[in-house]
Amino acid sequence: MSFSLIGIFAVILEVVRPYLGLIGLLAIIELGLVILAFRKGNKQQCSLNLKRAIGVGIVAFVVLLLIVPMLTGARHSNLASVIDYLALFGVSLGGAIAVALVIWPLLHVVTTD
Amino acid sequence: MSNKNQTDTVDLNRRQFMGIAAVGALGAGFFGLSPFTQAEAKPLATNAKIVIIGAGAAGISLANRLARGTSGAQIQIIDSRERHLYQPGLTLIATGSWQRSSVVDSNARYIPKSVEWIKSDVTQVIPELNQVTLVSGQTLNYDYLLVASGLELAFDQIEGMTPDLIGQNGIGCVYDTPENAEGTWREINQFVQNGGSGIFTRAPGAIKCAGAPLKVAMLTEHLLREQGNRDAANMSYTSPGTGLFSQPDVDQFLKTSFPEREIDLHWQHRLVAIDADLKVASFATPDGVVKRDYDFIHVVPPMRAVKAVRESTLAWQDGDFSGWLEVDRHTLQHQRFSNVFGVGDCVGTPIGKTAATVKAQVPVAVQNLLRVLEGRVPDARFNGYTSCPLITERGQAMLVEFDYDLNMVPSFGFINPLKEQWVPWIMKDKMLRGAYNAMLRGRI
Repeated sequence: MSFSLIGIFAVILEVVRPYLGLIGLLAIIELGLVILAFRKGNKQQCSLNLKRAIGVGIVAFVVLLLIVPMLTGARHSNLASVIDYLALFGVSLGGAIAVALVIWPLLHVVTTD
Repeated sequence: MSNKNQTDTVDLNRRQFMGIAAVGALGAGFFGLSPFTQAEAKPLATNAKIVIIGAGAAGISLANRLARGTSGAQIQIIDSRERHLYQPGLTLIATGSWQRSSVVDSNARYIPKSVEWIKSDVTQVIPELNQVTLVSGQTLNYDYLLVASGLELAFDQIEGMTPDLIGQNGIGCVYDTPENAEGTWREINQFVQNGGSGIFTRAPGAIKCAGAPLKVAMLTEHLLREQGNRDAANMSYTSPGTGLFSQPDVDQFLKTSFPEREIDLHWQHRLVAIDADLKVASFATPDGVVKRDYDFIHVVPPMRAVKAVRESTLAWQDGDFSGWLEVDRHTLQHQRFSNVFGVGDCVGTPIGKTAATVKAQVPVAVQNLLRVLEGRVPDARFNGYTSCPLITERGQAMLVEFDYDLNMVPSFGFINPLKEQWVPWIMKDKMLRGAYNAMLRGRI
């Protein structure tokens, strides 16, 4: 298979275009939290919060596995092929990683030493 | 960019309307490492006057590609419509999955600034004089003409039927406006709640998105099952011929699936009249006119090219495509007027009046026009690609892609086009609108 890289990005851009403002706002907030977290330092606390964030990510992964089909107006019984299950796994994993990345700096900022 | 590279770009783009959407959904990064990175071609310097008729999916996509592919050209696009409709979404509105607002957009968002938008409609095309006449009486001259005028719904060929009836008295139709798609959903929902007799028709001849009537029937049947009301409804599908779908493997699948879902099939039935008050539909059959009562009927009107094309010398004068724009099916260049090209629903070619077809046609037409502008022979070829995410129930679809030869041309070999799956549903529900918008901007 061959694809135009620009074409792929163009499609992704159009899909997320309605949410660009929200995504930008979240990115700025996240960036601010990351800066605050790094300024706070404390490697031991950082490691602990990272583990906590991963834990939240794992929970999010399981939740997403359960609800993503419903979010698309489908049911788990509609998943009928390996591709379907791989897609569900991939979307859930991506969502879980995003959740963990968002949670980690937040945890680090709000937790006390 | 060299001509060879231009050809490569067309070849890369034209098959991938569905594919790129899926890649976006499934992780573009893996494929992003591909060496096939599209580069912008150097614009062709020209002072040609190029007129585009129609600002639908095809017209706007043409305008964007030509605006970037040329410098110095005077490009005009003619269409009075301010509103842009994402027509592939009408089926989802009519079956309750989407809201009306999901398909309504603005042409102004997509027409490039360098293209002059003439907000009028064409009443006459005189290719012998290189002229088009507008509703206002104004005449425009052109050096090159791109016809992307779409088609019109011929409700008048069904006695007693008008678009005003859609959304009342059990009448639905997914081919008209978003408002009428919404009205169709009201009628389908009522049928799902109350049961009764449901008739799902299909018009003869070339129609846009020939999968839509099938999707409406299958989604309605699914909704009845979900409601626990399937036993209260009789469903039938009427075909003007002896098939359900032009691609033979899909046709066979549907001919098995519909009876399994207790949707009766009636062959060689053409809807010719409707009595909205009495809820009676009349069908022309080999045995004469048959009248049937209904509680819900999905009306699919015959379709034809717009009058300005149909009644001009641009149209096929006879044969299977009589009245549609006469173009070479591969180069999309007019067969008698070499400075005219056609794209989209208006062209008289076999199969494929879909947005996916437009996606495949536009790069070919633009490249061939650029070749003609350079005094060269058109060399890009359209293979008839069309695609239909054939929704079989809410949450499942089949990703069907095929060409003029009715051979399957799947963008992804690992997605079985004859298997009902979740991923094609996600593509239809979540991704194809993005792919469509990227197509409008001439980016894919």
